[in-house]
Amino acid sequence: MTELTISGFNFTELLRKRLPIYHKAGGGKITLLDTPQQYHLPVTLELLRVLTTEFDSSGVYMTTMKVYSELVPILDAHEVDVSKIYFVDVVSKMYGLEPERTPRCEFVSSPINIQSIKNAVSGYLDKLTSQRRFVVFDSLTTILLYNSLPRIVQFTTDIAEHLKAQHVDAILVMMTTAKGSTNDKLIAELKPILDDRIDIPD
Amino acid sequence: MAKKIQGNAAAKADGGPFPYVQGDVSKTGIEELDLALNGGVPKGSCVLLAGGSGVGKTILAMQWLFNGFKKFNEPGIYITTTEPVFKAVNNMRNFSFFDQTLISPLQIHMTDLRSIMQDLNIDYTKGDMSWQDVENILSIIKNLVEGMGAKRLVVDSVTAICYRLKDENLIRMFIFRLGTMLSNLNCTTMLMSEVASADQMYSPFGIEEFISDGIFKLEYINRNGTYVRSIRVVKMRGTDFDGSPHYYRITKEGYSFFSRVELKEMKDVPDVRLPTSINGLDRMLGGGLFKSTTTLLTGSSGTGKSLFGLQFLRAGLEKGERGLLLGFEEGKAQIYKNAKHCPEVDFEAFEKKGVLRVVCRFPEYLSFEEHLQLVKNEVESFKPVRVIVDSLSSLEKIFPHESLLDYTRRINYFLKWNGCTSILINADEGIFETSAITQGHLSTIPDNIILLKYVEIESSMRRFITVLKMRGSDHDKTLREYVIEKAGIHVKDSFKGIQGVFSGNVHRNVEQEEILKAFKDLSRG
Repeated sequence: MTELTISGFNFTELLRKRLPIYHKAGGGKITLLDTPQQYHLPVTLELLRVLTTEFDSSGVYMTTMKVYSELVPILDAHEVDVSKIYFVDVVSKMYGLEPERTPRCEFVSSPINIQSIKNAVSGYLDKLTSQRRFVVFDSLTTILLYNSLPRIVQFTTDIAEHLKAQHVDAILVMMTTAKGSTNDKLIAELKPILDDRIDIPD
Repeated sequence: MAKKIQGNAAAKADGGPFPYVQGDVSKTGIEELDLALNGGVPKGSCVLLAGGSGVGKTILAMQWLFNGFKKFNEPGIYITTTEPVFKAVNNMRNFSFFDQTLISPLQIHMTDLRSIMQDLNIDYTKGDMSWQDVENILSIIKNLVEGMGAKRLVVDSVTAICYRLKDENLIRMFIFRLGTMLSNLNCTTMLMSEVASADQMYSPFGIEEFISDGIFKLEYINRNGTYVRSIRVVKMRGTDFDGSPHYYRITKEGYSFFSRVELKEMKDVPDVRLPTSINGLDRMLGGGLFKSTTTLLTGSSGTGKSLFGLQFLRAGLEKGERGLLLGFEEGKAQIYKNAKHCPEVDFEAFEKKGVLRVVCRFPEYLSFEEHLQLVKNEVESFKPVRVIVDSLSSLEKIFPHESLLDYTRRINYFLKWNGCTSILINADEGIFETSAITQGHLSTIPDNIILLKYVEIESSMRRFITVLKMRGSDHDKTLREYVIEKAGIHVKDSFKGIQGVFSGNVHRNVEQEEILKAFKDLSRG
């Protein structure tokens, strides 16, 4: 598998360096991954690939980006080990699809329903048996579009505390928006709970 | 077209208090529509797309959204209230403007208002939404627009929301608040309005149109049995606009407008004649037809009108002049065969050489606008010197007479403007009548009129030709007999010693001396 390099920035290499540090520290690290929209897909695919195949981690992937049925073949094609991932799909129902029930995915009605997102993520944590565990929230930017800033700050803080307590790493994916935007304000508000931050250059 | 922005824009130009950028428009990316809108929809406006089922409201809105991102880098939001997002997306897959990779939270964001309402605990199945419910929905829309910096928003449809509001006052407040809120965010909005019946002008409630900044009325127009879609800008605050109907069809590319064939006056009238090379006719015409003129060639069935056309084209082709034949009566193979037989010309070979184009269409298969478009496309792409339209009468079978006049007037100007010397063939219904040319002022349109007619003389049908009109030139006004030979038409002499040929009341000219002699013989007893 070739490494993912964006504008001279080797993302794969960076993950290989940072993720073991989290693990050595006992897990439960909260990382903000800020990526420009145009690199969002390759970045998240590479993140999931490195986590599941190179570090043998298992985890939960919450997506507001693609419907589960479409996502799985894309992950497969990118050599992501989907058997190590549980999914929380916040798109299918909002798009009017009636997805078949599957033990590997919870379908949430819309990004407004953050309580259901929280419940679904928590519900899957107990099923993760590997030593290294992760939750990827992809993306907080989308969830923020449907909720107020204070509500999302509260949601993220609560879930971060919960994950830290269980030694589960969290990667909060955000998409770069204009300076001064609500998204930007959320990043500023989350600073106290972040252990690390990765910025993909534009 | 000069851009005219009124109201607040002028205040801004004078250092006024409003945050309005002069001439700042949200382009649709559809050239004809942007022209009609004097550049585009003024940014921040709320436009009602009003129309019945199947006119293409959603397609226009989607095209506007996708063009917005692809051409102008403007993120957009599509909010559905009627069909699920996945269905709306599936319906767009075959359009070239559609690009699924752009559907993402920060580019083209698609969402279903019913899911949102469900999660906001609003019962969307009932028609009793409260003001608080409306406020909650507006708050989500504001969050979405602000959060992604959206510049375009589509609500498909506003009618479905209005049906769920308790009363007209709430409908008024909802649209007003939505429009004001989005205008402040400099986001341009298109609201779909489902017009179910003819008594509903722009919306079922009759309120939406007063609150909106603009109205686009989309409809099907029945043109003598053929249906064509039209869009008309009824209202557009803040800009000058063209309020006439624009006709379109929906193709793989989305909205495809029929280009207008405008009535434009000739700037330069060439004093050059193009010979017809029809034996004897050029002498009648003073040397041929003037370049960039239109000739109406009219006559009864079997008088050889099409043959005149073929010979006229042949004369040009042999000199290397491009010829175009628009045939509405016969197919290409039949025309090739006819031409080979008489006037003995191989049209197929000329077409292969690229100097001739024969375009045949069943007139019924095209709408009025498509017929105009056909002439425009062929002339602009092929640039012919000589053009034959065979025939106007076959178009009259499918258009009302007024449309035929409009068609003839428009192509007359268009062909002349493009330097074409054209013959428009027209068939008289009867054998002896010439009513068609005087009907509805058809005769006032062309520069020249040539009439072909039958006359019965001594129990045989003979044909004659006369030049009724030739603008800017003297011409032979006699009625001349012509015959059709293997090589084509041969115009001969006038009918000597015979009167009443034109009227059909034919009798011999009797000389005065013969009459005197007859009287003398009688008196002698």
